[in-house]
Amino acid sequence: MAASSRFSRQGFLGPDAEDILATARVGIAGLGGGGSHVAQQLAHLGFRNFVLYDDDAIEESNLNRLIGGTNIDVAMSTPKVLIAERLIRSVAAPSVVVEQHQKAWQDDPTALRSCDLVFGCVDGYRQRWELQIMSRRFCIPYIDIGLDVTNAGDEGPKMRGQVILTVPGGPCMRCIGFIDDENLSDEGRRYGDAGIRPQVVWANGVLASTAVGLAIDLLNGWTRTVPEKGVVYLSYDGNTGLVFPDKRLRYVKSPKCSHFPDDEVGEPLWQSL
Amino acid sequence: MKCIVRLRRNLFDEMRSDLRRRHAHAFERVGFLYGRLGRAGSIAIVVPFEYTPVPDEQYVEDRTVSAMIDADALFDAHQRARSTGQCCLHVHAHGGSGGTWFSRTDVSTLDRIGPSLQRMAKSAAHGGLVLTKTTGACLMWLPEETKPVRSALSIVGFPLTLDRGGSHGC
Repeated sequence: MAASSRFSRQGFLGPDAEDILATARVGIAGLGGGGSHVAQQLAHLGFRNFVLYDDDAIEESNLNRLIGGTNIDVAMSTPKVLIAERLIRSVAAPSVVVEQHQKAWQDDPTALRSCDLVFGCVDGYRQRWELQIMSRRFCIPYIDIGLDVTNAGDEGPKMRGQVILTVPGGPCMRCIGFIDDENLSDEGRRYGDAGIRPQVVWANGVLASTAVGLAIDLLNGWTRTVPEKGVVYLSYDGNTGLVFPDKRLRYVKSPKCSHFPDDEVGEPLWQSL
Repeated sequence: MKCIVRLRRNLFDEMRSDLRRRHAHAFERVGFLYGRLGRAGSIAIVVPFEYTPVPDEQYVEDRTVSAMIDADALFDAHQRARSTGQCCLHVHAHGGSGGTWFSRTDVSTLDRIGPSLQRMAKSAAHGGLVLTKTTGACLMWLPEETKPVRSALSIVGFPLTLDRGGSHGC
């Protein structure tokens, strides 16, 4: 199908790109600083089937980065999913379908399971790992983004982020060393004592744009490249503005995941002990 | 109810590679694909995880069809579905790229295999999958449903291929 005038400037993505993007059902868990960027870009690109999850409402401290959020939203404590839905509908084709859930995705993962592709724009390792588990059980590619700023004393703040794309069968976030028992348990110990997490709009924008680019390539293969290790793990150095393959990829020896056996798929089975 | 079969790309490649092999007298090869069922509301999601080729000796010489497999091959598939409760899909390949659909003979075969597998593992989904070089088509018998549904097929990997099968409009 030839690109319509709305998408005529992205015709290089291929003659089928418009149909592919319109067909794909995409889930976004977390509609804060990162997720709101992702939602906006996907709507611009021509995605028409969205599943949105966030249990939070906007606060004044979100206005420095939440795309689409306004002062009126803060006054009205508008749920973030509604802001994202409004943002999507303001640029997407009228036929767009937006299914929004004002709750944590874990409370009702049904809609997320039906997605073809899931973006995780959440805080913390535990949430990321839970999204990874769900995406493996239901055979869904998972794209994770995250940003952190740490204080390095005299050297000043260090801004670091990551964009990770994993596909079922390939290395997972444990295989590439991004998640391990130590950071999961550290997070458990620090639970409730995290304070205000530093986040800024431009860095979230870099990560979200990189993630959306990976999603488009995954869906239509326009770059005609396949990740050598079967996974994409990009690091962002916010101090220099560089995005580069993370050095931990060097240690990924096998293209197969050692943490999710092939047959651990479908509905989780519960049995009494 | 709608259905999506989500197939890992490496499994798709493995099946394509196996089904391309020549056989002494059969014109095409057949295999069975096993998986598990999950649900997303009213959508049944079948996630296959293992492919088993039909051994060479289990093909029967028959000039009326491209490939005929014997009772042992069918028994093995039924037995596995029954003992494990897994989903079971009869798999073969067509030439060419892009979309495809089952021939009249294929549908007639599946009309026998689908319901009989359903009796073996009632809570699973069973059916047929026909592959091309780039995608495929699925006809599935879902739990407690008598008529098969034309299922969507996703091939999950680099790239991610989505084929809605004309039925999955979500």
